[in-house]
Amino acid sequence: MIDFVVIFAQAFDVCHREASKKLWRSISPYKILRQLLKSYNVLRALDKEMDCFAFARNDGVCFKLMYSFVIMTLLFSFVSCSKPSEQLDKKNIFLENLASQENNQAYAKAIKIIDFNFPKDHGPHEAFKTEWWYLTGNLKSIEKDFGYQFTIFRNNIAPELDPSNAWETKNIFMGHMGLSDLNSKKFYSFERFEREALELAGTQSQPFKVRLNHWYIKSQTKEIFPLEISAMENGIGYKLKVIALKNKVLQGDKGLSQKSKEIGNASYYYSYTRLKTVGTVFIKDKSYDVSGLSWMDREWSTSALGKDQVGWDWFSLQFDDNTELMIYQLRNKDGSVDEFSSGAFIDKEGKKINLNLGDFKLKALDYWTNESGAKFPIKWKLDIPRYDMSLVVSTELKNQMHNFSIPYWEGAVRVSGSKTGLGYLEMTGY
Amino acid sequence: MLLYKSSLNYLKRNFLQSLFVIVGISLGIAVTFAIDIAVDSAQKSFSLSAKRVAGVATHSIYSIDGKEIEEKLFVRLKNDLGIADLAPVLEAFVPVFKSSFVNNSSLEKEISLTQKNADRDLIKILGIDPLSESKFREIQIAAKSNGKIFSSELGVFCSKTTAKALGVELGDKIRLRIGSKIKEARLQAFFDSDSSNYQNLFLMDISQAQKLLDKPGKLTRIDLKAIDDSFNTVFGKGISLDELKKSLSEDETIKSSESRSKSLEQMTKSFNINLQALSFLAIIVAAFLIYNSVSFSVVQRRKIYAVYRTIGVSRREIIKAVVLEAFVFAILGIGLGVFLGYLFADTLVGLVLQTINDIYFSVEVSVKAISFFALFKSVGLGLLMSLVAALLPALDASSTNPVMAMSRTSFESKNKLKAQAYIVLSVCFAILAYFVVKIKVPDNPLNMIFNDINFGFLALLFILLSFTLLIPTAIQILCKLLEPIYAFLLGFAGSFSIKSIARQLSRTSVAISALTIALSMTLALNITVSSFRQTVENWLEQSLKADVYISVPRLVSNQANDVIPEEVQFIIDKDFKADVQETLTYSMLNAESNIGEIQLAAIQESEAALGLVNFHNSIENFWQRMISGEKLILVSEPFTYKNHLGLNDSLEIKTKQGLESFTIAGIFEDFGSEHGIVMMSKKTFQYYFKTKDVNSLGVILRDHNSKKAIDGFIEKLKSAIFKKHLLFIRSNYSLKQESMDIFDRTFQVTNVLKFIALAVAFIAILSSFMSLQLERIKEFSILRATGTSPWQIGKILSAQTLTMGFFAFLFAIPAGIIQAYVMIFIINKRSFGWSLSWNLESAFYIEVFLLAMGASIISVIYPIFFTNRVNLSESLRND
Repeated sequence: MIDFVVIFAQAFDVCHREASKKLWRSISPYKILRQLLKSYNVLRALDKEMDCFAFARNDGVCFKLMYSFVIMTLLFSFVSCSKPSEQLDKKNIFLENLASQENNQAYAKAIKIIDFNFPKDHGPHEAFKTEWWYLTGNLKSIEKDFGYQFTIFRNNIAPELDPSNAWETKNIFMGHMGLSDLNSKKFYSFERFEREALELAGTQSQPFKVRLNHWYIKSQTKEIFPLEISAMENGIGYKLKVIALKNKVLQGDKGLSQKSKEIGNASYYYSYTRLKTVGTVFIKDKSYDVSGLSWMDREWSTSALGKDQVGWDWFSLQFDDNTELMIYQLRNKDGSVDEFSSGAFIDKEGKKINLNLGDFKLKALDYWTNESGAKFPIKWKLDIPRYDMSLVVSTELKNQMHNFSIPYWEGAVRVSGSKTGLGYLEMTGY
Repeated sequence: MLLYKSSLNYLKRNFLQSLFVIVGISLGIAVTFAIDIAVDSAQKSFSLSAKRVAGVATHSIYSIDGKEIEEKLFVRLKNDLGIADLAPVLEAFVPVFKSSFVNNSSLEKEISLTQKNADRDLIKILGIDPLSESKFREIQIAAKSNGKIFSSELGVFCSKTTAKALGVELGDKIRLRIGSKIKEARLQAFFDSDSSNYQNLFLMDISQAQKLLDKPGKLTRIDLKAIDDSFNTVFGKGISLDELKKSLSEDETIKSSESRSKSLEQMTKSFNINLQALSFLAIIVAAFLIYNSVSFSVVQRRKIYAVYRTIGVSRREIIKAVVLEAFVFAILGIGLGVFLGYLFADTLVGLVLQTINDIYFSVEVSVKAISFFALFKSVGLGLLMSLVAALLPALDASSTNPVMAMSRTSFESKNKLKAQAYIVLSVCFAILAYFVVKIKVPDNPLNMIFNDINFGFLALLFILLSFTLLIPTAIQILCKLLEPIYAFLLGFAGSFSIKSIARQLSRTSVAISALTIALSMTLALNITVSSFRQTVENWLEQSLKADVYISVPRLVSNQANDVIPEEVQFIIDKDFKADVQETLTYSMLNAESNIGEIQLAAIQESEAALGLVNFHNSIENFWQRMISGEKLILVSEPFTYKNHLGLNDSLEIKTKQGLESFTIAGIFEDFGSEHGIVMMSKKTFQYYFKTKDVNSLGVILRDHNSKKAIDGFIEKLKSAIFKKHLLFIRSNYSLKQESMDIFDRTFQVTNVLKFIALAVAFIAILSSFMSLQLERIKEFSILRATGTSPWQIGKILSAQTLTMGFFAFLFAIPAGIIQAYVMIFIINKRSFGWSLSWNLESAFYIEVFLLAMGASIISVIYPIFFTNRVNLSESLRND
């Protein structure tokens, strides 16, 4: 019998301290007494059923109370530790669906090579679970250098929903905005969520437009360029106009970018690697006329990372000799680099040369540690022996960290070595 | 030390009496404390409900007519003005069907069932946009259920408590009645235990709420967050409250959240006053109980203290011993009392919240609040009363000549001298009470202490004090007057018993006073409630003259959002032409005015409609002038009282035609709304508010007032419209009955509390009567020893106790009536502005009489039994 109590006590202890905290919080002598009696009755009922708690019958009051207390706390702790909870919240709504693979058969998948259809493909692809419009760039004003990132994600969270009300929606939009003030060493980052409903958020193909409240990317005419980008939050933002200097590049295999072995774990992916950019950057009461180069990525898919993949390091570099390089390395849980990591080099004429994992070598040279202790490599050595490229990618601003629902580092970088230039680096999963 | 030991020994010997003292104190404390907890909890639950559901919003945008705003406004504020923190809300109270009858019984049956059960199953639907939420309400839900809020079928989230109360489980379909339709929604997920005290709340996505409530494109409000009246925008520059106000349309208005929760508080004001009155009653009764119990135990030992004095114990030491003893009793009693009160409170809190849910609105959060103040009040009251009760007789005993003190007669005769002083004091208190009543306190409901109502209670207290001070004198006079009668009727036993009441005045008067207080307050409450009830009944009689009433089932009073489908009116006008003499329409909405939010109703331009209203006062030809379209309004009595407005005063109302000024042309009687109602002619109403919505219909039949015709008509009408519309169709008499039921429910808590207070007083009086008689066992022993039969002693004892009970009854009547007067004409008038008519039913006096006699009879049983069983020689030798 003593063993029995000991086992119970241990079980109680295992069922963590949270439970007892809750218990003490909800304490009321009357309630406890009632609960005790109830628990004791449970014990008696069990006894009747199974005849295994025979001790309960003949013991004194103290023992009865003790058993009851143990049982009660156990009940309490099971109740409280079996049900984790979360805040009803935009981030959770967005992420829960993104992370879950349950409904993936309800979406289209990137399986085979397709013929892209422009300008329609600039617009949304609702059959796919997620897609993004992604712009990054380095800008210069008379006084300051800036890096900017502007992304709108679409996430179809309810593929089977048939909207019958203005607020009802399949898609939730998430916007990320980053602005790096490289001279003042300041990084501004904002996140925004909205459902595709009413005039709050949405897309259109002709003329092309993606909006998230007052954030938008839009074309004035049927032609996609010039493209206007505008984002503002808390008095910080930019209004930019971009024009393509080179034609679009279909990444991967004619636009099909395989991310792991699994069929369908791929995305459709194209980029504009060199966009002339002019406009204004706003920081509180000040505004800066800027010009520079941007890079635009468009990607849609239903896949997430492969089972063993934990994150990636993604480079988009624009060299001073009018060439560009895109490289991403997918990292596995065991620390190795995934075989599906790849890249592309775009020459002066805009011709693309695909790069495989074997073609490039990435080595971290320096790290920056954020508040939560994650170490991000912020200085890289990138070698592509086949093309005699040996580059060092570094940044002037170490903290370009988005502390969003999915935290990641994304910021402006500078390239030196056999080629010089500017670019953007994105690192996730650290 | 010797003194303390002697105290201890005395108490040991008189264990029963000591127990009475502790029980007396603890019961007094328990009731005060429990009622305070109940009142505090109710208030805290309100404010938490309001806060929780409003979240951290500082402001909200509403429609000026209390209906809905267009959702486009939200888009405009967010996209164009770039306001950073805002959230759309669509909410409504709807009745939920209990799971026990999900089968397809007839609609009619369901209506009647909802009607009966609805009070318990009224749920607030809270439609929100989870993407805008995290800055406002923090509702924790079960893990992995975020996605479910966007399900393709109607789904709700709620707390486990709510689900349990409704008898539904995860995945079950819940039936809700929306307007005149029944709809179903699936229970998708639970709130987490941290959010489990959200009660009677269904959370849904705004899209689903719009679909469920049939309100596409509409929002109840938009919640906003401002810092120093400035709203953050994405453009970096804040937008000020005034700028935002300017950018709103005529139909929209922005209110601060404080004003909203204040109006919630206002809503339950009458109920709170009800509770405050009870809390006051409890304190008074408790104070007397404690005083009674403690002073008794000290007065009894007068002689012993005198002996101490003779053997050289100093005055100081005696007082110290008495105070210490009283203190120990008080601590024990208070400890026990607080514990008992805490247990009591569980029941009371549930009861109070239930009543609020029934009558006013559903409270989403229920908490048990124990304020420091309540505890302080109870403990302070207990200590103070105990010490005062002990100190007064102790001072007296120690200051008198010990030899004199040893004889009680001298003490009692000294008391007679004091009687004159008492009378003077009593008159002083009466004058004070008069002035307190007369004082005009600035109307400031925010001031918790110096407000009208508290002054009303203060007057009550003075009146009670004034009365109790008269009681000793009154007892003496009565005793003298009654002595010959008693002697004649009962012989020796009679004259002995009545004389001994006067002789032991120091104790009998306290016991009689305590009983008088309890009885008089019961009487006063009875008179007040019944006068109120009678007045409301008369008013209903006057105003409910149509034969049949049709309304959308709506269970929250003052909610005017439900509209009768036009088709129904059409059917009545066309298909029932032969039966119907006239149809009366009722329309109502909430409007903004220069004095705050008002309830606005439309009165039809017909003689029949006018006949339903009882006017206190009006200007000449107001009816003709109103019909001719002049900007005149009629206001209810509470409205004029509350807003200090009278005939010919003007009121500025925000209409859909802009801000318009209306003149008050008449003041009418109304008990339907505590805050008052403003009426304008139907044409004016429709013109200024651009609405033809009708909230309810009254039908006057050709065969007026015939029960048979009414029932027949209802049957026919039901079969004609029930297939499509789920409406309440009620006869005049059943509506009256329902209204009275609601009235009675409001006072249910009052009754329960009254009963508890009375029961406590009863027990305490029992104990003091009992100890009074037990103390005289020696006297009776002498009587027995000198040959009085046990039967005679029984007669003496019962005659004496019953006489005391009778005295209490006699004193309670005038005291009760005066208190009722204060409650009806001062407290009620000041709180609501209602004029009530007196209702003094004889039944109340009988009730009070029976209570008094009952207490006396029960308390005499044990002493009789005890006196006759006691060992004579033993008790005589003890001296």
